Amino acid sequence: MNNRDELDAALQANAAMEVPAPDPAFLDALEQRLRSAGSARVVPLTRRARRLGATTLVVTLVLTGAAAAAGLVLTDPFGDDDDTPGAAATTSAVATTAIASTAPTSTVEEPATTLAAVTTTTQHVAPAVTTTEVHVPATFTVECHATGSSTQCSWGPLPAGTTKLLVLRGQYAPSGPGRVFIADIGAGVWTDPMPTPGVTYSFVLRAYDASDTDLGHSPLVMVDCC
Amino acid sequence: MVVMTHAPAGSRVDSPEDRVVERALVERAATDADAFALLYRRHVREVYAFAYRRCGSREVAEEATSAAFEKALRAIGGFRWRDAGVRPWLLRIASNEVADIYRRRSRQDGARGQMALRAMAPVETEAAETPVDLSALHAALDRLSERYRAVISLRYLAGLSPADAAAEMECSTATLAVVLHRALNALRAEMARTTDHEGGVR
Repeated sequence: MNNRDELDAALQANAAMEVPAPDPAFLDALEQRLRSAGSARVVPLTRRARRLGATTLVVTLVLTGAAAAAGLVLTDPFGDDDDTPGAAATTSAVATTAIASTAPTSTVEEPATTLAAVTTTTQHVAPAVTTTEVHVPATFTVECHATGSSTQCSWGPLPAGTTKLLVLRGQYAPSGPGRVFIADIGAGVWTDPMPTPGVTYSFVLRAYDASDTDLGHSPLVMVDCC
Repeated sequence: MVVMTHAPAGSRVDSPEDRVVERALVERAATDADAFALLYRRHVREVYAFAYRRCGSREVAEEATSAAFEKALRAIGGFRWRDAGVRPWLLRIASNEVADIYRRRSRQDGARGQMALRAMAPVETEAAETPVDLSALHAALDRLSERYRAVISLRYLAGLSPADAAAEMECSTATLAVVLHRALNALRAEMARTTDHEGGVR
């Protein structure tokens, strides 16, 4: 095809192609597979880590498979990686959870956990290789439950210096856009002002200090509203 | 037949609020199955639709969607946040998966199997009267380099803005324009080769 118009027409026709809706059974089965795969890859491995000038923490890195013992390679939990030539995309995969164990000293520092990066090589994954470091203060917990007409969330001790607390509400089922709310820290509890009955929401709390520095976020909880 | 003519609601990161929520989900997804499940639900329909447009086959689109999310699950911890969210990254993985599926089947089944697979794939367009050979387009796309395939797929099939596509390609918009120009030339040459030597089907 040497004609520019023909290629344009092909690309336009391709973009306008009608797409059959995916089979709901396929979507459900894939979600279940991803959930079980996400759980199955979690194999504890201990490693000592020292955070800058802080108490030594015993960090449990969660890696996959026996090769994880080397601390460098994630194996394929699905067993379907191949070595197709010409399509390899070097990237990193980080599938680690760092869980703070008990700090032996009673310092004022919060036991914080850090997602640690382990660089590895996988096949055919789009490049995106910079690690995101996420601070998850171990004491920063949240509990949410449906009340008669809404959802209420309460939280454990906030990270030191917290002056602003955001409630990040995701919409799981049916899927929908996320919303952000500001919680009243002093109240100790937050009530969803815009609930929709029958919707399953996720909630994550995110703490900031006076200079809007991110102090970390809580675990995610899911609640059927209400 | 129920058809999707555009992305379903909730699959794009549209508002600053939504970006904040999606970013939190991305940061948790490496270690939290619920967080990854939320990301999956937000984007799976659009990834599927994109994969379908890349190949015209429901079967291959499902396989590519499945593989894309499985690989995204393994790599999500290394995802570097961008304003467009995780969507362009997922689409790029899906694009590569489509190419890999055909490459694998080509190895396993040979050219005859490839032709059978392409021939089985019904290509439906809104302008059915337009004589456009999309199977040749798909086959030619699969033979391009990953970079060329990605830039064309992101701009023309996924409809990303130049800024979002450039962010995903990790280059400036000016560089993206140059890469896109070269990629289209390469695609045109591949399609001409396909038409000349293989009768429109790889």
